[in-house]
Amino acid sequence: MRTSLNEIQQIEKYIHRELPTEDNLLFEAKTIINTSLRRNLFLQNKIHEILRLYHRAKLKNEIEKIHDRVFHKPTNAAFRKNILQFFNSNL
Amino acid sequence: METVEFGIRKKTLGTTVSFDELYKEAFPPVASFVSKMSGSFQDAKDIFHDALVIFHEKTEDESFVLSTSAEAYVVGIAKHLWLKKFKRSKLTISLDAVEASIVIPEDYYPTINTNRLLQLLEVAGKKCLDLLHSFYHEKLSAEEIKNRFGFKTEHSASVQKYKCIEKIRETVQQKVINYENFFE
Repeated sequence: MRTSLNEIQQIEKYIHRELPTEDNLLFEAKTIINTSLRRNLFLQNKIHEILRLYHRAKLKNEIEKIHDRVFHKPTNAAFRKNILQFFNSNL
Repeated sequence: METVEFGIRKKTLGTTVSFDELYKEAFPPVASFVSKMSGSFQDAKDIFHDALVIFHEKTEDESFVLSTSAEAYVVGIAKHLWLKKFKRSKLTISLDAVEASIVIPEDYYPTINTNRLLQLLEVAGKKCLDLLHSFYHEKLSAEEIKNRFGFKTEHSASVQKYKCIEKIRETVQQKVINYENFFE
C-alpha cells in the first residue's frame, strides 16, 4: 500500500486501540510534533462520527418497519388501543 | 436498503430477544411515562425509537452487561432522553439505581455540521459509506465484504476501505468549518 494509506491504517489502529503500548506512545508523540497527522486523526475520528450517524439512521428505518409491523397488525389491535388510550386525555 | 439484523447477542441477554417482542414489551411503559409527562404519541414514538437505537448500540459493545431486563433498560434510556430532549430537571423524574447509571452517547444528537456532512456523503460518497459501514458497524469479515462488493480478493477489499477513508476525508476536510481551532 502507498504511504498515505499506511498512515490511515495506523490511525485506524490507534483509534481502535489496537496498537501495542510502545507504538501507541510513539503515535501520540508523533501527533504532538506532526500537524498533518494530528489533522488526519481528527478527520478520521470525524468520519467515525458520521458513520455512527449513518448507522443510527439505518437502524431507525428498520425500527420504523417494526413499528408498522407491530402497531398496525390486525391481531395487535388490543396493543394499539392500549398505547393510544394513554394519550386520549392529552389530546 | 439492506436489512439490519436485530438479533440481540445471547451473551448479553442470556437469550435472543427479537426486537418485535421487545417493541411490544417496552413501548407501553414508555408511552405511559411520556403521557404522564404530558407528551404526545409522536413524542413517545420518537423517544422510544431513539431508546431502541441506543439499546442496540449498547448490546453491540462486548463489555456491556445488562443488569436488568431489556425492557426496563429501554425505559431507563427513554427517561434519560426525555430529560435531555426537553431539558427537564432530574428532580422531576424518579430514576432507580440502574436507570441512574445509564449513559447516553455524547454524540447522539449530532451537530448541524455532522448532519450536513452525512447528507452530502449520501449523495457524493454512498458506495464508500456503505463499504465502511459494512466494516465498522455490520462487522462483516473481509471475505463477506469481498463477496458483497465484488472485489477480487480480500486484500483489495481492505485496500479499498483505506482508499474510501482517504476519499471521504478529503470531502470532510473541505467542509468542516473551523476545524483548525482544534489544532491551534
